[in-house]
Amino acid sequence: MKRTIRALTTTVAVELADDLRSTSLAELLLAGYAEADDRPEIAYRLYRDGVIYPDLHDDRVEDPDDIVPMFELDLYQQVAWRAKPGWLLHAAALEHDGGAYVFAGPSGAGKTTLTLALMARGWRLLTEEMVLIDRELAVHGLARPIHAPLDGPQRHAIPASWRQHEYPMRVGGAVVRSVITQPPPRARITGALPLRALVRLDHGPMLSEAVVSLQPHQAVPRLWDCTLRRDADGLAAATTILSLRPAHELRSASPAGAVAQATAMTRELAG
Amino acid sequence: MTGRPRRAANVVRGELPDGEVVVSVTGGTQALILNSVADAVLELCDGSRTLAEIAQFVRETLRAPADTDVAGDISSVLAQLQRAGVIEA
Repeated sequence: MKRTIRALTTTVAVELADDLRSTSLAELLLAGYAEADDRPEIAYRLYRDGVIYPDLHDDRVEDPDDIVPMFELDLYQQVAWRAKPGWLLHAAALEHDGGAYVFAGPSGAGKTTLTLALMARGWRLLTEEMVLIDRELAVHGLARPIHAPLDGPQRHAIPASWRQHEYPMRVGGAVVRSVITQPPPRARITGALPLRALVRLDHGPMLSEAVVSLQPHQAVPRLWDCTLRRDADGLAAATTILSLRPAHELRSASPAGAVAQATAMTRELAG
Repeated sequence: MTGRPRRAANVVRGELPDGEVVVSVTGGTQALILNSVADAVLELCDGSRTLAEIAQFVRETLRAPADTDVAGDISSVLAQLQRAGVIEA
């Protein structure tokens, strides 16, 4: 199978060879990406023994379970590096009433939990992982599947009707098993959307539930650690964007509290 | 801080609409908001001045009252800048 996809702002060709043993996993990983019809900037080939990368390096593996995670990791590095100018964030983005809400936070901040909860309320998924806000204030999302720990609470929030696949990832010397899931097309959206608001997620059992409006001088430091391209262009983009669109900090003590706060915030912004 | 602080080579700098300045270093996780005095202090960190000389310059330029602990304030600013990697001592 060969596909040409749009990954964030990069056109990528991916070939899954007939002898690849993890084809169903690879297909699910790619299922959310929109087709692209322009010339690919980079190309991958996944086959029985490994991955051939854009630089034509052929990386053979001992464990075939490593092939898809290796490809995924390299793909994200490539698309982050090649993304068009703008502010690149480790963040989720969801669509609500035609606009994009960007929820930024480091790993463990609650992006997946909040994403699943808001999707259950009709919000559509742009990305759960990587966001580019360009100079026109359009939000682009990396359409990777949602990743959830195998036995974590997020797994239980995934609707049974969504396609799921167990996903082994090697972390250090150990294999960590998680699942990836792909929401149905009606629950996803691809393409660029206008930025409605940026939200820094902060959760902990001792926090009082609140949405706090951040002025630009507060928002830049609060969101900088979620920035993936921390260079002069990234800082210029961040300061410009935060001067033009509202930013908030969503503090919550529980997932339910985060959802309630996010819903109230969107009502306020819409009103 | 001892020595003569010098602005790091990989400092990135941006400006916010209210005139405040934000600084970080390429790849750094911390971004600092500087007021005009802190921004001026950073400009003075060119490796040629000691903390005492920077404090003296600021004291004279701002005509700070005699009982203001300018050196203490600047030492605190420099410590923050150093922690963020923006200056090297």
